[in-house]
Amino acid sequence: MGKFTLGFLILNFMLSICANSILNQGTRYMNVIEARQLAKHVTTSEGDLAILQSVDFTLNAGEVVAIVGPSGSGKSTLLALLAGLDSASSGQMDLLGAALHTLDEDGRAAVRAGQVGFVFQSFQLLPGLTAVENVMLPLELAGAADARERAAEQLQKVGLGERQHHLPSQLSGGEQQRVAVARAFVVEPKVLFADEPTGNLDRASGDMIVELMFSMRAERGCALVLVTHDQRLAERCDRVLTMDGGVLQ
Amino acid sequence: MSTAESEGAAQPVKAAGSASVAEVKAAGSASATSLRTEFTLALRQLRREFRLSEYLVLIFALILSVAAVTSVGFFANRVERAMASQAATLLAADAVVSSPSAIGTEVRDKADELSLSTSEVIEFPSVILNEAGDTSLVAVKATGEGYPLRGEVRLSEKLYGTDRAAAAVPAAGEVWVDPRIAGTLQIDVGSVLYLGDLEVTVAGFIAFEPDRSGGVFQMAPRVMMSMQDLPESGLLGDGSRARYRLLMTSEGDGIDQFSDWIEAKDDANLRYSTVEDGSPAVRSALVNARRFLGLAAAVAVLLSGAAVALAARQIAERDMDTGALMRAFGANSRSVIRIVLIRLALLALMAAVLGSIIGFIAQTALAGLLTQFFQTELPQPTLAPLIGGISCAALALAGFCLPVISRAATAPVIRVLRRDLPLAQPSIWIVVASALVAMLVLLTWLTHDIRLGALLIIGVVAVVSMLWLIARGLVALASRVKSPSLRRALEGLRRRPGSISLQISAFSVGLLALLLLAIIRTDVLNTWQRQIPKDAPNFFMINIQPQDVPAMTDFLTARDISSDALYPMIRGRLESINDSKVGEAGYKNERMRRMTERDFNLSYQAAARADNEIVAGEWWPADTTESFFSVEEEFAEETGIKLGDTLQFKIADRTVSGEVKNLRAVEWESFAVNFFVVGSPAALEGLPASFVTSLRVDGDHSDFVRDAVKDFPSVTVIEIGKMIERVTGILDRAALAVQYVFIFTLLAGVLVLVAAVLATRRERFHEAAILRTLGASRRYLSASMSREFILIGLLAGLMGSTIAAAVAWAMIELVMDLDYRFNPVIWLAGTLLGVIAIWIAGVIASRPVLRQSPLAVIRSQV
Repeated sequence: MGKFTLGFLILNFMLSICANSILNQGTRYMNVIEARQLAKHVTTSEGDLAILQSVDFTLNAGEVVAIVGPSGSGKSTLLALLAGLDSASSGQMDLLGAALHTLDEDGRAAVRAGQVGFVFQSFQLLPGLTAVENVMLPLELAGAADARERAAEQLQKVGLGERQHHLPSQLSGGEQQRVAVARAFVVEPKVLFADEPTGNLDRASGDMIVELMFSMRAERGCALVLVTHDQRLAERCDRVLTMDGGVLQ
Repeated sequence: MSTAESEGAAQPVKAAGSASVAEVKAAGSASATSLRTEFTLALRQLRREFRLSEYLVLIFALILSVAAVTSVGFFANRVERAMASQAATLLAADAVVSSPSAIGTEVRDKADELSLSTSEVIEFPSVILNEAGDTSLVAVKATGEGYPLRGEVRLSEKLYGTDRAAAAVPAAGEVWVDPRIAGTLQIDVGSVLYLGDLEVTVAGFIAFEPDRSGGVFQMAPRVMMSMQDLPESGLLGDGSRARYRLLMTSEGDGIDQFSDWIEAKDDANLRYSTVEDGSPAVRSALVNARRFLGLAAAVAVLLSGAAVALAARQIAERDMDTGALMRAFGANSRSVIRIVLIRLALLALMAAVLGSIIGFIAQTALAGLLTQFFQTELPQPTLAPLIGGISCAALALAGFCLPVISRAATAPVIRVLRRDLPLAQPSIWIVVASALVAMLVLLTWLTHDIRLGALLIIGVVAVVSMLWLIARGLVALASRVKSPSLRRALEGLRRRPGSISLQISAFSVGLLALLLLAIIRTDVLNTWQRQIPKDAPNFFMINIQPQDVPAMTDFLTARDISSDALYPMIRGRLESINDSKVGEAGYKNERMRRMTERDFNLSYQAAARADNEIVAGEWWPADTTESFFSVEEEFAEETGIKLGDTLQFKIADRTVSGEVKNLRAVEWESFAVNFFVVGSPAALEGLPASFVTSLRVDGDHSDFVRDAVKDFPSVTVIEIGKMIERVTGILDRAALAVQYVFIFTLLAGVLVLVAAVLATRRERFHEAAILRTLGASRRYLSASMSREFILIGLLAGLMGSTIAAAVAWAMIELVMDLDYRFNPVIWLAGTLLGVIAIWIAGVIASRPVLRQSPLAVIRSQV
């Protein structure tokens, strides 16, 4: 490789870092999520039940927010509404510039495609697919041509390069969650939703997942909404919001 | 930094305002998963899913359906062609054009154009003389080259001696003669006879003439001569009474094309017959055979459908998670459904290919087995059954699987966060409707009988509903039972009321089908074959003059020969129905036209016959002085005759009219003497009549025939034993084929049992893990499951056996018009089979449940 080429590559790399940094600075305080007066009601045999009431919430680009609260307080319901996994009974909800409250389920899915990552408490890996195939899935759904290469690269980053062809049943809980983290970041999400990501793991594995998740998020500068019971984990976030009885405090 | 990272970073989030719905939808469609990606994803999922038991059940069920349908399709195709060919021997061809005058060149040219093989036959009455000048009225048949095109003429060298197939038609200057004239003319092989201007030599006695069955009553003794001798004989001149027949065969669809052509031609002088128009007994045997084969395949397909439906339910549970996750990552619902459709299409394709191969091998093996039963090689099948197999797989998936799985694919995406959400169930109406439509199409297509298909579906729906209700009732009962020993057996029912009810229903359906098969195999086939009794008559005696009746009765009694009664036979033509001339308003069908354009045989009797069942109206009083008619029900249906109609017949130079007093069902397969129309004595007695009877002569027939011909020269003795043998042979072969096809049904029944056991395995895994965590031993769990399966087996067995008997009765009595006899052994065996089979299947299927570590199970269920 000639000196000129090498120099050009270094310059290009430095420029791209600068550009990235400038853009991240520029978007850091733009709204990734904006929810106004969100409410969710369900009808039960005993009448109307309010799960979520008048929630106002804003998430800026690159911001990390933890939502904490007791079980049954509505944390996961809020996460589902913010990510467009469910529709609100009332209120307005914008995700990445799209008004989710005006969209049907397919419309909301189109907003998520290639822009949103998830890490779930129960890992949610497809049991019939290998680790690399699980990671490829969101890329393939977004129409990426080089899904396998990018998924394999991502698995290397989470330390599972050697186990990419293993099925989830052949991996430990911590390893499965690392695959899930790789899958969440492989699409370069603008926002990541994590629902109790360490809830099914022992402490050591949980710590490892948290470190991995936070470092990868920092590297990409994406926003993060984290639902957790873990106070230590919440304290690492920019903001901590508490849910209680369906109300965000 | 990767390109992707740069690209990702270079796309700032829109700062203000919200994207419109149109923008998002446009973006969504732009990022929509390509069909190629969907295909890749579907293929990848399918590749791994094959390891799962529910997919194995699904694919086996589909393969089995296709194999059953294609094997029956291929085999039935060959057997039907062989049967048609054998039945064609009764016509000596696949089709025959006959005419009172020479058949024109237009018809022959058309036959040549369609590459039909043809042979010409001319029949006419004549008188033959021996050297002593004795004469006999004979029915001459001049045969052209190639006759008979189907079947063979069999000859014997000695009177009623061993026969052999004739190699060709009679040589010029030779004749083959009916043994019946041997007595009259005192001749033997080599004797000289005079036929018109011709001197001919007897070259053999006719033991069997294939196309002789049609109109046996009108036949004088046969003399068969060469067509080459006809001009020289001077027998046929202008205005001679003769019947010209052009026999035709084809290996392809030439006959069908010819049929279309000649029907369009609508020439009143030309009569056209095919095998389908042949004798009622053969037609009935063919229809029954086709129906039984289709029915056997239909039951296999239905059972496979049940297995598919059970497996689909479990697949749907998995797909619900997969679909929700894919949609969380941005896939739209159409894309998820397309992936499901691609998977199902791949499954259908795979099942169609494998099933068709198995089906083809199965029919080849069966054909090999049955070669000895067919006197000729079975014809090669056409490829049409393949279309049936592929359609069957697609239809089974679409009807039994697609609604459940596609609904699961579009289940709420929030399931990725809330695993505790109940499974999304499709509308029960959609599931039921799609399954019913699929069943109706499959059954109608397989049985060629929409009535049978509809009856089966009503039966299936009634049975499943009943089983479901009984199962639910039992579950309710379980919650009230206090007995400790029963409590443990019933607690499983209480814990899983929905799935256990489904399981009991499925087991019962599986057992029901197996038992139904057993009943059909033994009872129905026996009943069917019983239609031609072992002591069926093997001779007809016709032309018995009224004054000879007492002497003939004495003759038969002296020889201890069991015979039917002597029935009067009168030739008559139906002229009008309710004063409306027959044929004036056209003919309902060709058969009706034929039946009403010529004379046919009527009879009269005072009392009703025991072997004819009155299906409408009532028999007339024995001493009635009024003119009444009794009409065979199928004849009545085809000719449009109804109870109470007034029929008018032209008999000799008289007109006889009377009211239709009743309709009768006749078992033509019994070969007893029967008539389409029977009158009261007041209507027909006294008109010119001869008498007819059927009788059975066991052992050597030659003495009996000689004596009969000697004592009653005017009587014609016709041996029909050979014809009966042929019809019985057709029935036997069909019965064997049906039993073979039942192997598929048996396998499908077993598959349903396996699918039903697997249906609750996931729940059992979870439940066993919790119980073991709480301290239950494997032995406790094993004993508990055993009791539960025994109880389920007992219930399923009892219900399956009882309903199988009821369904068999309905099928045999109502659909097949045969008599059903309840078989308690099968009922009891069915109940025991239920207990043992389900217990064994349950214990085997539950072994992994007991072996699995509780931790692994609980983790996998999180």
